[in-house]
Amino acid sequence: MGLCRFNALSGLGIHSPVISRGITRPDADHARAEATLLERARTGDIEAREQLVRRYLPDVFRTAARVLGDRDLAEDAAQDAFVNALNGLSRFRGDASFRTWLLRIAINAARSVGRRNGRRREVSLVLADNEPSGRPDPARQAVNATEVERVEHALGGLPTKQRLAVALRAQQGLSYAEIAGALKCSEGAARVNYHLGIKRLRELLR
Amino acid sequence: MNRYDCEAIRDLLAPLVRGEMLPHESASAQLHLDDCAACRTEAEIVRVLQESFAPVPDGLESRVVAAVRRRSLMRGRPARLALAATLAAAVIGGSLVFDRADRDSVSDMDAVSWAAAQDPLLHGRSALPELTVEELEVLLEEFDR
Repeated sequence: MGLCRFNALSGLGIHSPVISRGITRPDADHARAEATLLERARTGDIEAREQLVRRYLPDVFRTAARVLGDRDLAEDAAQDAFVNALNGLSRFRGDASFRTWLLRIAINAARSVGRRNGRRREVSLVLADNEPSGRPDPARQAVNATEVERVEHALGGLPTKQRLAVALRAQQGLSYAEIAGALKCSEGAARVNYHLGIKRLRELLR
Repeated sequence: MNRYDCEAIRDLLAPLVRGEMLPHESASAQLHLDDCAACRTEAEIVRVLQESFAPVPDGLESRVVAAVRRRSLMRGRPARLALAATLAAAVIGGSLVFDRADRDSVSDMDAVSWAAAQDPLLHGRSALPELTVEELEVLLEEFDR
């Protein structure tokens, strides 16, 4: 199917070795810096809030886009998610990571935006039709566009939880625990949703 | 050098393809992928998904920053006291929902652990990738129950 040409790890750069057996080992300095940033944001420090937006906007936007299948609506949802989260920081208790908590809010915001806009069916996010004009994506150019569209289309056909589990893990690098927090399910369910999603993608792309 | 089996590899594909594993782990994974067509296929799916990462649209960051700044400034005004009260009520309600979700999550996990222990088909995390779609759906129903 063309997808089997993968020569394993060749061409994949090895970056900072922060993950072993799929488990993120959070850097202590990073965790402390983030805690400080969150505390400043909680007290109303606008600059701290803006830093959080810059840090997490890609994750929030992509998650909303996966739920909605529409980039314009995903932009609205991303804005709603940040406004809601940063004005409700007192609700963040630190049980999960801030990213997990924020992604949960992003998923809810996306669903609200979807309901407001009468989107009854979540659809695939076909990037080819929506890329910003005049700014080709280098990563996108590196692969066969047909393969990308086939996988994107197949991913769009999965049930929501499976689609999000696959996207959050494969694209955004979340652990199963983080996915569980974002999808408000158990870690085991997050794991099963991911495997089921990958299995179905294999079948759809066969 | 330890070699991974299919179960281990499939759980590691995302960090593997993202280049986030230790070098010796990547080398072990490579050994398995060289010999296993099924895992190579899944690795390719993960790779294509990563390549198709949606770019953040131009202007979205400044739009969101402006909205956050506007909302943050509004919150300090006395005229917004009623809104603040409403938000406080929502926060309390939200906290209750989160509390309940946490409890549900724990009991959900217990139920599934029990179900997995009872059923050899679903026994243990290591069996997950070997299950069929139908079997995985059965397991998922146990989680959702």
